[in-house]
Order: sequence, then C-alpha cells, then structure tokens
Amino acid sequence: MSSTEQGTSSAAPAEPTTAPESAAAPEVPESFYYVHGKDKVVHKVSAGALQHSALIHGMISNLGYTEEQAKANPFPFENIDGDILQMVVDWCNQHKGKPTPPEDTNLPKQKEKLFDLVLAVNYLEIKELLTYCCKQVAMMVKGKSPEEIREIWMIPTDAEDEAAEKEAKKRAGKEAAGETAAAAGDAK
Amino acid sequence: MKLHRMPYVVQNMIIAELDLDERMLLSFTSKRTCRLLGMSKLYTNPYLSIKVRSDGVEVRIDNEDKWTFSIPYDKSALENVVYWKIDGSDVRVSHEVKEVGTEIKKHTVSIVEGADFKRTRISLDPLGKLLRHLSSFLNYDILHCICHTLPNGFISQLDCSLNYAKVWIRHEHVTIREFGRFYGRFRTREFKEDRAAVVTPKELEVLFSKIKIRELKLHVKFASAVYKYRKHPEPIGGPLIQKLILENHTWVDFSQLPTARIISFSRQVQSHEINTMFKSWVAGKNREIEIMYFEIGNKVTDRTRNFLFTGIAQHETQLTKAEIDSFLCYWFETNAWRPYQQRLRNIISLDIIREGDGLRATVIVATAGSLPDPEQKVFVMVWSEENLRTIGRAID
Repeated sequence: MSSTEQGTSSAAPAEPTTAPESAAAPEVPESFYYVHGKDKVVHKVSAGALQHSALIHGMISNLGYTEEQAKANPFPFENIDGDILQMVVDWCNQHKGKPTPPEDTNLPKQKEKLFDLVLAVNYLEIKELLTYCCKQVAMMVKGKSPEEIREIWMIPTDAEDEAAEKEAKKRAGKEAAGETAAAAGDAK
Repeated sequence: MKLHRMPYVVQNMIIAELDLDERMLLSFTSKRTCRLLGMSKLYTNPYLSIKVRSDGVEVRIDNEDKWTFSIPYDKSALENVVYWKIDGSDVRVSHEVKEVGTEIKKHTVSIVEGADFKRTRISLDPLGKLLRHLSSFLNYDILHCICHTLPNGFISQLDCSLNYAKVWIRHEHVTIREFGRFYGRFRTREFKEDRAAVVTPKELEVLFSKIKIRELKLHVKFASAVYKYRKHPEPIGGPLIQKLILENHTWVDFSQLPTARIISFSRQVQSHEINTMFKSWVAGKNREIEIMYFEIGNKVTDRTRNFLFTGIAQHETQLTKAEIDSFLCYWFETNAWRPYQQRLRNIISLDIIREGDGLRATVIVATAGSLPDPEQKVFVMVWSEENLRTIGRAID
C-alpha cells in the first residue's frame, strides 16, 4: 500500500511507485496523501490508513487538499527518521480499516528503535500503536533488578540528575544574563 | 531507551503497564524515578502491615505479589548485599525472590542498616525511610501496625500522613517459670505473662492526636506509675480515633478520657472510676465518646451497681428491648464476640442525660458467663446520630 521515493518537501515529488492494490479494492476511488521524514523519502499513504494518526487526520481535514495539492506538498516530519516513518506507515497500512488486535508482535525489539518509534507515534498521535509500544517498553523490565532496569531504561543516578540540574540552571542563568546585556545594549 | 526523555504522557502510559513488582524495583533506581511513579499510583491498592518483634521490624506488602522488608537486629546471615535508593539515600539491602505458585513472586528484602535494637535501642531511621519511600508511590488499601514490643523512637517513625486501620501496641508475652506445688506435686510450671510496653507521654500524645488511626489497641504503661494522661484542654482538630481499646488503664484519668468514638476497657474498671466517667459525661466532658464498654468484676451487688450512679439522675430508658438487642448485636458483630459471650442475662438499662444539651445515653448492665464466675458487663450507648441509625431508629 505504501511507496517510497527520494524527494524534498519543497519540490514536487516524483511519481511514487504505488504498491499493489489489495484484492478487495474499495469501490470509491481512495484518496492518497504523501509524507516524508528526515531522509526526505516520500511515502504515499491512503487517507484510510492515515486515519490512525490524529495529527495527520486533523491536518488533512483542516487543509482540504486535493490529491494534486497533496502530491505537491508532502507532509514533512523532519523530526522522524526515515526508517521509523516507514514502520509507522507500514503499521497504518496493515491496520487500515481493521480492528486493532490486543497485542502487536511486529514491533522492533531493539530498544533504541523502539524509543524512536514511541516518540514518533506519540508525535503523530497514533493511540493504538502507542499503547502497543508502551506495553513493549514495559515488558523490557519484567523480572529485572533495579540495576538492570537502570541500564535498560538509561536511568541516571541521583548524582547525575543533580549535576544535570546544576548545569541547566547555570545555562539558564547565563542566557538570562546575556538577554539582560542585549536589552541594555539596545536601550543605549 | 531513556525513560526520562520520553514525553510525560508516554512515561505515564508505560508506568500504567507495570505491576507492583516492576514499580517497586523501578522505585529503587533514583529519586526522580520514584517521583515519576508517585504521579500515577497503582490502581489496585496493596495491604501493608508493619510488625515489630523482639528480633526485628517487618514491613509486608500484599498485592498479587508479596514483598517483605525486614530490618533484622541480627545481620549476620545477610548475603549478596547491594545498594538501593530508598527515600533518596543509598541503603544496603539483601534481596531474595521466590516463586510461589504460578506467577506469584515472594520478595524478601533485608535492610542492613539500622535497628540495632539489642545494643543501642535506637536507630529506626531505615524504617522511617522505607515507609516514606513506599508511600511516595503506593496508596494502601489497609494499613496495620502491630507492635509486639516497642523500640525507642518507633512511634516517631510512623508516617502521620497515612490512615492506619489498626495500631496495636503491647509488649511480647513473657514466659514465667515458677517452681512450686501444683496439682499435688512439686514441679516447674510455665505460663505466659502479658506485659505492657513502656511509652512516654509525648508518644501517647502523638498516637492520640497526630496519627489517623481507626482502631488503637494499647497495652502500655509509663515510667512513672503515678502519671495520668491529660488530653489537650482545647480541641485541636486532630483525627478522631474510631475505636480505642485499653488493655490496662492505670494511666487513665476517668474524668478526661482520651478522645475516641468508642472506648473499650479490657481490664476490670472500679465502680468509682465508672462513676467519675458518668459524672464527667453528664457535666459535658468527653463529648466525642459515643460508645463505652467495660467490665466491673464478678461480685456485683445491687448496692455496688447503684454506686455506679451515685450523684447522677437516672431515668427510665427510652430504648425499646428490640433497640437494645440491636445495639448489643452490633457490638457482638464488630467485636467478634463468641456465642458464649453473647449469652447476656439480667439485662438492666437506664438513661442518663447530659446537662446543657439534654443528650441522652443509655447504660446497659448485663451478666455474662456462667457460675461460679459470672462477669458483669457495662455498655454505654450515647444517642448520637450514628448510634441511632445503627439501632434502626429514624432520625429527624
């Protein structure tokens, strides 16, 4: 259902290759939209699949794009890695118009990929997929000791947290001082 | 995978997927993580009990999984010691896990620091830390604290922000060996003697006015035998104890009883003490009390019984027999009286009336037990809204 192609969000993308249509094609021609991530690879996704994402669904409804306009202006998600966006698009396509199963076993097992997927899914507001991801993340620490949990979820020690907090305060102080100096300079 | 770099909503969703075991273990990783757990507490609240014995302090948490934290006085057997973050401090612990049945785990955590009770009789800090730590991310369904001995400083470690269903304080039974002629032969016999725990006036004040306790059972005494507890002269708006069970009362001033809704005396109370209690109630004191129960021994004549009411106007009771039965049934049920205890006879009832507002209280005197040692029991039911509802009388 999805297709990918190198392109940019500013220029009109080249014709993406369309994936084979499913056997039970809808009678009414389906509209398609285009999204791309950090790698600028454009993905063609059906409106039905995109309904999973409350963010994109809202954008589509508000913009009222025609298919041509949508093709010319793919939705840019510069904060999402290309492979992660591909996973999201695949999931949306697989679950288009279907009731979501109680669990999903196709989620990435590598913790960094899963972390990026969680962030992307949360940003795109895909509730069901986010629930699966959170379950998967929670499963990672089942039966683990506090030290193992700290390692898996990269939980800083209290000393590291305190040092980071101090650093953040210092930085905020410097920034505030810089702003005051700039304001004083402007006044002169 | 950095948990703390996840958006807050996602962190909460992940935590919602964790059960007691994972939350508990996660809580020991850092202060920040513990705070995060506290933002979305466990939906099913566990049962928590604190038991203080002569060999150590034990804190148990029962949910689907079971956790036992022990602070033993003897640390010699502890192995595999690691550091866990408890209430913001690094605490040395020894952790063991056993599978009980299918999928139920039993965790035993022995805390290495503190509670060196036998040597120093101090240092219950780890208990305070543990209780603060646990209550920062858990709500409890039921919370019990049973002290079979009372280490110095224990009461001050109890978290005043929690609601305790039961707090029982007494001293462990002491085994007494006695040599003498028993049952026609010279022999050594052993028996257990119940002893009172020693408390300070300050500790008693904490129990009565600072900690929210539903049922407080005390078998305590003071270093000074002549000490009498005097409650704060002005109501201080502290939590009201629902039921106070006094297993000894040498320290009680009967004209100014501790503040509680129900007061039950387990040991025999003298007639003049009861008379003082009644007189002070009629005069308008002890206004929080709604039910009192005590025993007045087994050799009570009409004269002694009348002495209970000396100087107090007695009125014919306005409770019906059915209402008195209903009140007694309520007492049997709430105090788990055995059937033989329920067989009351020679029931006499009369009313006394409070000066000032005319509130009525019904005093019921009854005999229980069989000859040759029948017991005289006295119940006082103040006509409060709650009591009237209990006996099924409609309230305007």
